Amino acid sequence: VETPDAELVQRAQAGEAAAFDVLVNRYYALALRYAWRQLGNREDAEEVVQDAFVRAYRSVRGCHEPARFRGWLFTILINRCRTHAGRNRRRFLLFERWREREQPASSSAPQTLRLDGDQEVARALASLSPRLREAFLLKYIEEMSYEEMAQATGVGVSALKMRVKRATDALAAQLKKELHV
Amino acid sequence: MSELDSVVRDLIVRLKSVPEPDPRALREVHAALRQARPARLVETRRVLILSPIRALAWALLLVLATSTVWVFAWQSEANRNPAPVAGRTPVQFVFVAEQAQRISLVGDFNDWDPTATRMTRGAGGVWYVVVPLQPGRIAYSFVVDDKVWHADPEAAVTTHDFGRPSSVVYVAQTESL
Repeated sequence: VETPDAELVQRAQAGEAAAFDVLVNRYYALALRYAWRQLGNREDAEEVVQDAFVRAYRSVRGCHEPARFRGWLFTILINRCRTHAGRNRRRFLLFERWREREQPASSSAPQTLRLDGDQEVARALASLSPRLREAFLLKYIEEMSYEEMAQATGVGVSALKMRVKRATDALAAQLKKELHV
Repeated sequence: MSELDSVVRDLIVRLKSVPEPDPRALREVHAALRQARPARLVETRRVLILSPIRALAWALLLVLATSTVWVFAWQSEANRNPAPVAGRTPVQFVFVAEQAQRISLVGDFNDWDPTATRMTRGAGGVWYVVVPLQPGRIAYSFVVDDKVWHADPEAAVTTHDFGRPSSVVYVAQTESL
């Protein structure tokens, strides 16, 4: 029988590091899935997931609702993904400015996401803005309720519903265009 | 989900597949956790009863200590955030060298003078300095203990005119960031 999250969190809060190891093993793959889909490549996702787990461990005593550890972990993970994406975007814009100045002839279509994995899926997700992608992934891939999403993202329920709707419409249009439907 | 377009439903099915964790990456997470410790949320409180003379002595000591901290913080802040210079972009340079006694930053901006821009030592042997630079291509190196020249391991390497290892940074206009 699997030990409940709440018990493991409480044991970690009491100083039992091995209890947190079990939580890492339990949620690593799910956290990696979200970060990979959100950031577009595995390498960045692994880095962000590690960072999120270390931050979660450091502040595990601040997890006031141990039974909803997953939601609490995702709050941290979502924030780390946002920070990482913002940093990548700034780096990309800096590089683009330099490239335009130094090598104006070699311009190519801008792409802030480095993609790997299933290219078709990755391309479809990359066509969304980070906000829409985040809302779509939390709703349909992580299967969170809108209340859980609101708690994890700090965004209101009605705004999240709008983002999910826009994301699904945009994805449908993008995929149909690719499939020539 | 039934109200979704079939192409989006198919996409969701594909996106839901859970990736197989890389054992090496998972080991690294556990190793990183071994280095971390949960922060304490509750701090114990102690009541200290002092005689008037001792209280005065403690007060003086406290004033002295906080003054030192403020001066240190001011100097440190001045190093990290030098006064803005019109048309220049503040750029932070970081170099890790735990054993070094002193490190200088040299480059086009200070005529490669090892005495011009000293770096400040931070925790864990991390040396740093912030320099306001003109936008454009800047070549630079780190000089450890006034002797050994190092290129920046985190930046593109270039061939310096004097045959010494050096690196390149491209500085943008401040307002573009």
